[in-house]
Amino acid sequence: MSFSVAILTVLVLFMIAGGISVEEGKQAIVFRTPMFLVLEALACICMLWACKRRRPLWRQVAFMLAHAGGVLIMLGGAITHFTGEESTFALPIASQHPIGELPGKTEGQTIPLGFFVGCTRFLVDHYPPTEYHLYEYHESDRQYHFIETLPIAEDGSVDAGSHGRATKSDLCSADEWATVHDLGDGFFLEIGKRTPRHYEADLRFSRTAEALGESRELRVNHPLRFDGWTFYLMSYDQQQQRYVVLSGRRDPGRAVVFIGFWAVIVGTSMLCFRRNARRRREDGSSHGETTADGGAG
Amino acid sequence: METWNAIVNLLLAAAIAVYALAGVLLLKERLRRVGLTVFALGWGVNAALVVVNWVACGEPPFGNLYHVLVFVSLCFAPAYVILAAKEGLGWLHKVFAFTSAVPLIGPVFMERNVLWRRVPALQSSWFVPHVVAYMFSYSLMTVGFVLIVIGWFRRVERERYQRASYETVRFAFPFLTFGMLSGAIWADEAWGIYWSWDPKETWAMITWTLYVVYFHCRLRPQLRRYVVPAQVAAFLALLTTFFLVNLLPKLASALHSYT
Repeated sequence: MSFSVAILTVLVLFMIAGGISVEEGKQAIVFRTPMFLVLEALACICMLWACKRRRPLWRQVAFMLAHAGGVLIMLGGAITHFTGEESTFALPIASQHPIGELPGKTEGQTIPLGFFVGCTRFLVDHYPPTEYHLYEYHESDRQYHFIETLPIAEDGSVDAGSHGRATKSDLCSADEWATVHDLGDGFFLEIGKRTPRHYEADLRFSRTAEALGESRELRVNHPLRFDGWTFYLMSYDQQQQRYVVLSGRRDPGRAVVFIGFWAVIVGTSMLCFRRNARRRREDGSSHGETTADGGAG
Repeated sequence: METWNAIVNLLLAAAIAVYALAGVLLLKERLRRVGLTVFALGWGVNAALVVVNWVACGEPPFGNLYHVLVFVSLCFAPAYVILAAKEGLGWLHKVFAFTSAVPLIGPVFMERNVLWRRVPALQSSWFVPHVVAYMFSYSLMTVGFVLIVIGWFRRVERERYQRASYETVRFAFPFLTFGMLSGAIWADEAWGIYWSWDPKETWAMITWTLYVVYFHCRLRPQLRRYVVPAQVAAFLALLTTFFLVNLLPKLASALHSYT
């Protein structure tokens, strides 16, 4: 066990180093180094060794689940690492040309899908805006100059002070907020940052580039699975809505990892929620003798 | 907006005051019954604050640090009731009452974004269980740490406080585990990757691993001297996960930018 604690401590130190010393967005590089993978393998061996030493097996279900679950997570992760494929790509909306391969990790490399996928429709719904930007048009340079950001009041109006005021009926009709509103005298209001409430895309899968295949709806948190691949809706072109950003994954280790997750959750719950031996002894031997303090001590 | 802020200010001040009063009353054993009643009253005010937040944003109120700090406070009293019944830790009432007030102090001084919009990535059935499990475990881990600190100053009762701390942490650990792994399952649904070593994820894993080290140190007599350092390190890692990852630009979390 001392060796296990030593391995876990080194893993923690490695994670701290990886978590704080690498430039933003590149942390994952640290955790793919051979040294870290060796540490993970050693942790796996420790867990397997601990399982092997526990007897009888049937009385150690919680312990087994918690430790074997950890091994399964790492095993599944290794399967993903060595055999899985992943690509993040932009898919044009309503294009006549579905794609049959995805960009790979290195430039020029492609991953053949074995089928074709295209995006036939995209829909986005926004929350009401909270602010408008005030601009002034300058004749001298024929440019719009930003002045300030103005909040939308509770009654839906925007007060631009001496430059004018726009009421909710000026800015919004049938729940659609105006992108630009002319205040007069060269002053304009432009809608501020909009938060998406919901967005979805229709993907069409087919065996050939020409054939029209089945169309299926893809939403955030609701991935689509087709022929061993899973597609996730990541983002979209927020300016002109010309494309959606998708992630495509083929991950043979995923199921193993998820079995490991649930094994660890169930195992740790069983280990930690059962009443400990001391309390059982107390309840058994001195029933009714518990003090006002609950008998601990 | 002003109306919501006024209500929030009132409830926030009331909850802190009532929790603190409960803690003071519970310092005297003969006022235990009154103190526990006041503690329950404080929890009611705290619950009202969560309801106000929920009504204001129309979503489960876990959208920002203010929301979750208010919710963390709400977790202490139910945790106390369970631990008192299950592990005989009823004598920790004053600790739970005082620590309930602590997370509410931050929101008094911070910018409170009462109105919050749930972006599509957060519209998942995993959102509420993930956050609730984490906040429940954080409240218990906080109590576990406070008990270690109290035990440090009260040498005569040190063993008793360390044992109570262990039982608190032991009860919290499955929630911490579920919080972390449900986050991974959710990340797989949302982004197609269950673990990406984002700073928030990395620090969550550091915290979890340090608590595992803590449990293992307790099991071996020759490692017992590392129990307290492991728990302190784990709690510091927890604070880093909860606060610093969001506050320090160096540790900025891209995937958890809305947490």
